[in-house]
Amino acid sequence: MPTGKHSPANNRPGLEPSPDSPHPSEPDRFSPDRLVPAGWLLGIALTVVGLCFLTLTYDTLRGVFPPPAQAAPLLHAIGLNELALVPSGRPERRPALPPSPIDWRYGPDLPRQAPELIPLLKAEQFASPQGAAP
Amino acid sequence: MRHIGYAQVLWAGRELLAHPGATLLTALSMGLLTTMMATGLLLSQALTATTSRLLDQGPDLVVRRVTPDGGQPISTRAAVAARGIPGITDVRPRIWGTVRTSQATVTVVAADHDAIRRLKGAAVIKAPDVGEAVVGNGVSIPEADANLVLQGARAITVRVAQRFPEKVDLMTHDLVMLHPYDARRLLGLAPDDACDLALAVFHPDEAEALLPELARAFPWPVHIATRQETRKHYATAFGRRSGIALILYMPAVIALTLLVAGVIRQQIGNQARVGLLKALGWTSRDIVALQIMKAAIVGLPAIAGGLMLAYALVYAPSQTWAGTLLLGWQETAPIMHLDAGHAVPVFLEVAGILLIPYLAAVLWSSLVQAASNPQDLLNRGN
Repeated sequence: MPTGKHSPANNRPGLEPSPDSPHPSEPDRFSPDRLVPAGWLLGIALTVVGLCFLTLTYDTLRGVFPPPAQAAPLLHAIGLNELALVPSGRPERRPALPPSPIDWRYGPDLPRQAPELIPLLKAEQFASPQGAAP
Repeated sequence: MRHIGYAQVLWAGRELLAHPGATLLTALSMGLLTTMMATGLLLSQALTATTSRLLDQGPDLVVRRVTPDGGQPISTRAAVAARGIPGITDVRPRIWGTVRTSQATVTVVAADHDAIRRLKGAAVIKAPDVGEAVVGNGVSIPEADANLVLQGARAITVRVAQRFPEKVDLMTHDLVMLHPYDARRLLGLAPDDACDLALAVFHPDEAEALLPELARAFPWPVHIATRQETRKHYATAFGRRSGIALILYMPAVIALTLLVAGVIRQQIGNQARVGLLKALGWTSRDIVALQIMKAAIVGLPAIAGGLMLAYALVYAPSQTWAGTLLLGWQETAPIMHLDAGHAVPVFLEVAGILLIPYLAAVLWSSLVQAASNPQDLLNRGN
């Protein structure tokens, strides 16, 4: 329980001086007890919050992305619609044509390509892309 | 208390410094918790936004000839059929595929000399001649003579003439651009063949309306991918990974619960001090304001610092950890220049998730104490 010389009661701001006060000659002054470090603590806290706010605001408005004026024409010239987010050769890299889950073979020992279907498909005109999907 | 303002804030700081270890630990816990929660959300948001922005530079539609066995080469003459459809402004036969080097698998694309010739400014590259290649920063060359051996339908050796700029690493990290002649030889295509057709349309929003007519224009079945589908593919992939990352939030939620419990326990343990302040004339409002101030002095910088750390982790210009840890890259990972334009909602979301329970715990326990009799508080504290 805080009592004695360092009691918050003695250091309380705005407290009226009383005959019982340990510092009757300086009634309106804070005790230096931990108040200077407290000021530093507040300063640090405000600085951290302020710096974070300014940095985030600036970066958010400016954007970290390279200016489209430089990157956009090169990306357009390359002309691909896949990104190098995952290494080449993985299924996630190929958004345009996901591998078909349908295995058209009648048995696992048959060749991957079913030769009798191709002429059939070539002969048919598909009315919609849904019908043409593998 | 009559003087509310700087003096009260200073007094709150003074009370916090009475227990510097506990104050520091609370701040560190909140900061790390913030970083942990914000990093995953920010990364998912940034990847989705950046992907969308990059894909805007790609084709609106991609037409592939399909058979039951998968994709088939398409004749470059088929471009004529697509050009005749109203609304389609550009048709580009593309030659590209996946081949192996001695080190890894790479994506090969044939250079479009006309498009490269139109490049200006810092992004200029020279279109590769026969026997040359322009490669991304992730394509390593084992030999000192800058030759790259590519193993496709047949093996070819090309000289690395240039590398793509680092700023487009997210699209070109493991990309090898070749002369069309080399690309066809490597992928086993006939001189007139391409892998697919990339189409540009006049109104990108109406691209889907062209699909039936486009499908009828070719004499064989085709698969047409729209940009929206590609976007959806990436968004789904990021969403799936974010779902896995949510498992990490379980310990974060437990940590947050413990933190709130710790705050309440600390307040309850402080009853004698509050009783003394009340006995000395502090009003209930003063007590509540003091506790809220103390919580804010610890919580706000901790959360701001945690958000800052998460921001730096995700948006730092040389950031590669996401590729290595989350996206399957092993030796090198693409440098991610991510779009930071949508970070603010994530910050607000995370700050709200953490601050609301924390401040609610402080407010509730403060109100309980403020409403109590000073004598009871002093007795309970003793």
